[in-house]
Amino acid sequence: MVSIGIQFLVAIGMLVGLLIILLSSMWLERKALAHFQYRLGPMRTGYHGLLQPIADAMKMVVKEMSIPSGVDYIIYTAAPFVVFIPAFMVMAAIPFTSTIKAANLNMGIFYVMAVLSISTVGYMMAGWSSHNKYSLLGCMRSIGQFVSYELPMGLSALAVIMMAGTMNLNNIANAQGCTWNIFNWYIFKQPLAFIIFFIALNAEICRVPFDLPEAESELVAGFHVEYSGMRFALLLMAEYIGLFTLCSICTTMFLGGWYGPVLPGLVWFFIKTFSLIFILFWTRSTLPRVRADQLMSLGWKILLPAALVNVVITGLLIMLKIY
Amino acid sequence: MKGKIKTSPTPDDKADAFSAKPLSPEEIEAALAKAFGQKIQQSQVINKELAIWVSAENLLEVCTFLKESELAFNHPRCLCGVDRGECLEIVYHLCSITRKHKITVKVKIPREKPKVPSLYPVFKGADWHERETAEMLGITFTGHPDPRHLLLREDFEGFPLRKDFLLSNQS
Amino acid sequence: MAIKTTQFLNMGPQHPSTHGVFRMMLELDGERVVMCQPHLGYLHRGIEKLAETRTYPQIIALTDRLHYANAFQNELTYCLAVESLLGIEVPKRAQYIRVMMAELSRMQNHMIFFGALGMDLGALTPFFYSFKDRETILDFMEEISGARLTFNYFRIGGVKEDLPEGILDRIVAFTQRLPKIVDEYEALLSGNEIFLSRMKGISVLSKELAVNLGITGPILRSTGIEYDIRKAEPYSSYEDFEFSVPVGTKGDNLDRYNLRLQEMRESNKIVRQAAERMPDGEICAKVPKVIKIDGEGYFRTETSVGEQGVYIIGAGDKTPYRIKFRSPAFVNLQILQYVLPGVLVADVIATFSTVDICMGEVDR
Repeated sequence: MVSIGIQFLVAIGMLVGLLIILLSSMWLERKALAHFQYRLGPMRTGYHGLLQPIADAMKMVVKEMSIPSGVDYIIYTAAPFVVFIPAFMVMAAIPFTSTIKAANLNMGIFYVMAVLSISTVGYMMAGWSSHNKYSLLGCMRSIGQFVSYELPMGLSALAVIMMAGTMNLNNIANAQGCTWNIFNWYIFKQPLAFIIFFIALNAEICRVPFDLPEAESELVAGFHVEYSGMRFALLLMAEYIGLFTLCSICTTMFLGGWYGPVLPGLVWFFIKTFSLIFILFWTRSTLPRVRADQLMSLGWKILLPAALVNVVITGLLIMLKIY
Repeated sequence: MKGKIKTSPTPDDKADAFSAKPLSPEEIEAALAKAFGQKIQQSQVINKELAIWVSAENLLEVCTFLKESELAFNHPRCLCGVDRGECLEIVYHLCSITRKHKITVKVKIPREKPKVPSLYPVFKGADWHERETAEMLGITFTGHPDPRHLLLREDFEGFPLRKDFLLSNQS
Repeated sequence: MAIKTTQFLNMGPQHPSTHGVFRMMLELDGERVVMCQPHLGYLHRGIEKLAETRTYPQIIALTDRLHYANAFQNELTYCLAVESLLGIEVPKRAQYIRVMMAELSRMQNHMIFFGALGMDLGALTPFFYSFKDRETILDFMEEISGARLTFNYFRIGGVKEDLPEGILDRIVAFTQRLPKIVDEYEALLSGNEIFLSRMKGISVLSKELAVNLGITGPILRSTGIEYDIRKAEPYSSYEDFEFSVPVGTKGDNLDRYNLRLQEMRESNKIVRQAAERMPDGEICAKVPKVIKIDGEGYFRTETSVGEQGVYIIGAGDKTPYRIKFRSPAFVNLQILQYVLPGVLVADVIATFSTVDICMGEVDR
């Protein structure tokens, strides 16, 4: 009874922690983007704009949820949840430190891949039910994008699984784990897999240069053009949560998880995850958007063969006992 | 500097673009008189440029000759309509990119049934100019592929650039 | 019954990337454009009809509102047209001031083009860089003429006021910084793989079609035809300045983009020469108190979009009988119907951005 109570508290604690991380990554994005663009960003709400995400959240909660006529109401209402819940569910597999984790899943990476695919259905539901040609174009692009980039993502993760010998994220981090020797990290042993995984991650959460489904300048907000208020807030939160959870998976698989000298494990985990998140903000402010057909050819003609070759080479090296 | 942009002048550009020298207005007038004779109703040199008047029936023939012959008036500059009171007048400004000379062709049409053949088969650039002139002055361009209103809304009544269409601050 | 495979998409008057109020009806087969039909007129204000009720000096304020992003060049065309019909000789100092302001106007218009193109393609950062540099030019314009967008500074016969003290040195200092600024713009976008693959070979315009449509300006020069009115029929002392005219080769989006960046460098040369060699003298010629024109004439200049023409018919009154503004953006916009079929939706936005129009001039 007590243990269930403790687990419940831990779960609540993790959700609250995730919300705080969400707000801080929103603030970080606006500040980073602003400084790249030679301006200051939010400065007035709180000290240097620290309360800006709270102001944004309050605005979205009180905004009118206007529904255009002709939408398919059930699918329209359900779509944000289908997008949002899998993003949260992925968090169950992430080990923050060796003790702080939600569930020690033996099929960690498999679970992550499977759950991520569910949100594809959510994007399609949102785009189709909106009864709008722009959102239709957005959702068609998003389906192509998600399907194309799941394969390279899975195959590059496969290389890591082959090396660690397990799909359990906790054990993958332990396999790299060594407090001082950072050359044990898989980013040095599998650089190609890291690059492919990072690009595919970028595409899975629809960030520039892959933000075609919601390309602002072409499709006027794409698949979520007819969403406002709390429903839009859910879609937006799903994007940021996905950003954090996928970057933390990447940290666990390639950057050694929570291992590091001097500072406690949790601090190292967040430092590494937020460095990856910062790199994503950096590319957002620098690169233009790819076109839909160029995105597909990048995914199928370049990343997928590279990932396959990587798997073959990894297998060979493992067989020759080098790894 | 990234990108392959040449900056002028380069020797081969000069040779082929402007190899034929521009003709003076009198020479153009003589060439047109030789080709058309009486079909050119009137010609005058205004501001060192030649202006000719033709009738609506001969417009296409004259403009095709201006474009295809060695006079090479291949660039339609501007097309506008003027309300001259007793009649309507359409003014075509043509010029030659290759030979750098210019000509103005004017057509006078009656006010009651203003009809002129469209210049679209000769110059594609006449498309939108003609649509605008048609809606502003009420002229019909026969043979125009898409004679909808361009700048005014579809149900607009009246022809703004005619002199009898008064603005609110005119008496 | 045949199944319709195409759908109509309306890139309506309100859209983040149509510069101004412009509507395009696209017929799409999936993401590929089959047909494009532009709809104009959302910003039509009847400037030509209004001009018939205003005196010749009053029309200068109207011409500002044509292409409101480079208003100096519109004013220049109109003033030169009236002066050529009246036979007025503008003093040298006024001519040099006019050239300097017109070329500064051209530079800041190309900066808007660069920033807006980056933003339309998804690169958010170049917009802020180019608008920051544009602020320097707008500060010069504000000091000289008093306004940032619609100036009403040129007069028939010259300019309204003389230049303030010390501004020429600051303009020369800016012209020395500009080549590095354009280098920075090229470092931001021109070499980017994604940018190149989105611009190269897209929406190619052929020479014959461009000439037949009456296209002028950077779009015509990008197809390979070297035709610049500042060189072909020089006006307002342009023959005193040394500059070259960039010419493209293929007529695709990338050529139009590179050409405009190169034009910024050439305009910079003209501004520096004008500022360094500014002659002393009067700033306005003697014109009659009431200007009456009897006769007609068509005058043209090269603006940053193309050839702007003003056709004035005067009947001896103090207001014109008929004024026609031949706006380059109006004519250049016609290429969309011919160049867009066959491209993808994303390319529609990129192409439209490289045509670089301003709806004030298209609709008048």
